[in-house]
Amino acid sequence: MQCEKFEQRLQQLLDDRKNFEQDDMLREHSRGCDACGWVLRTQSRLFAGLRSFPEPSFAQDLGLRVLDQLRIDRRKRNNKRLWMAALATAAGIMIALLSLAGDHVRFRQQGQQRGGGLALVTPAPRQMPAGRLTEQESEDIRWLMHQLILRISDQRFEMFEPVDQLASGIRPLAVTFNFALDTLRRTLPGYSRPQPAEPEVFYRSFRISIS
Amino acid sequence: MEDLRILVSRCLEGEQSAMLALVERFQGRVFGLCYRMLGNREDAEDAVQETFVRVLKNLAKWDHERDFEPWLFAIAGNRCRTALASRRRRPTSHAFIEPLPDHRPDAAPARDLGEEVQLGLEQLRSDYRQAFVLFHQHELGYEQIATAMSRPLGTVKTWIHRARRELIRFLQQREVIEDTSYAVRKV
Repeated sequence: MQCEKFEQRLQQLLDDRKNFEQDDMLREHSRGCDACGWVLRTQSRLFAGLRSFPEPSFAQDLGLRVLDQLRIDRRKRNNKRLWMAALATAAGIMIALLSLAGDHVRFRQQGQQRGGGLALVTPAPRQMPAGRLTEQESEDIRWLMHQLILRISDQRFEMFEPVDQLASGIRPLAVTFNFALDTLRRTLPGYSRPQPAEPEVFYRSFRISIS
Repeated sequence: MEDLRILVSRCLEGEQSAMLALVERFQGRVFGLCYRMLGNREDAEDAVQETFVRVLKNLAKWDHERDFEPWLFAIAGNRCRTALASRRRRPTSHAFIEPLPDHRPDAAPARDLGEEVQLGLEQLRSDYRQAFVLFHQHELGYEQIATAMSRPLGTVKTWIHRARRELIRFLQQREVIEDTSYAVRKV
């Protein structure tokens, strides 16, 4: 057997994961060839090392840790959804308010008057003339506004709570949001408190609700 | 294979006990790969955890017609490479292992030889190491390894061959195996 054939056979046995140490052809050649004998010995030594690899044990609660991690990830994903829902609600309120205002807000291009660039929404200087809506229409609007505010205010603090655990920057937004709701509520007929509450009240309420 | 498909289906339905069973079925082999890749238990456990979280989140993407293990080991290999990359980016207190002779007696216990091979593995390129471990330790076929590593079969064969060669060189430098003039010619 030639050295080249020896190497090819050794590689083939390694590829096939067969026991090259007990192969008669390789052993016979290596007895008469020092270089190939050395190759066989070094490969044997390497595989002896592989067989005696230290096998460290691993934590037996890995499966439970994986499930815990999945739960945390799922909660984060849900919180993100809740946050998006809160944003969508806020946007919805804005749209509802603008729609209800109808003709009574006008868009003024500030740039035309002051040289700025932003279009701002500003209330019209004159308030809504009472005679333009029928009594029934006015009642319908009041009822809708009442329902809208009630639904939102029922869970206004709770809806921010999960988001606050991840991003405490939501607090000023939540306070502002609740302040705006309170202001809106005070415009409803029959609401007793004429003065607006201080923003700190909402901030304190928010902190209490999440503590 | 059929029981694995059933187990996966149950996982996809959100059954927690099935998820736990899936992890327990493969955690030993995944840990073996991660430990060989990363060289310490804590990092390996983290990589195993990340691997299974990823596997369970993406289980619907597994093609039932294909072997599960190459897909699983592909994810584990990616996690290990990510861990190695972040380890390179942050300063480490691990001392660099110099390939110096340690003058231990020739008849060193087999356990020491195993530790030397583990040290040698840590010096290999990560892709050589992954291919070598999957072939010689996990007994995956060349094609399965090529699938797991998204590399051509020939490349994988070359990597495994080079890994063996570099390991022998490392063991020579450490004087764990005899060093002769043949070494230059043959290895």
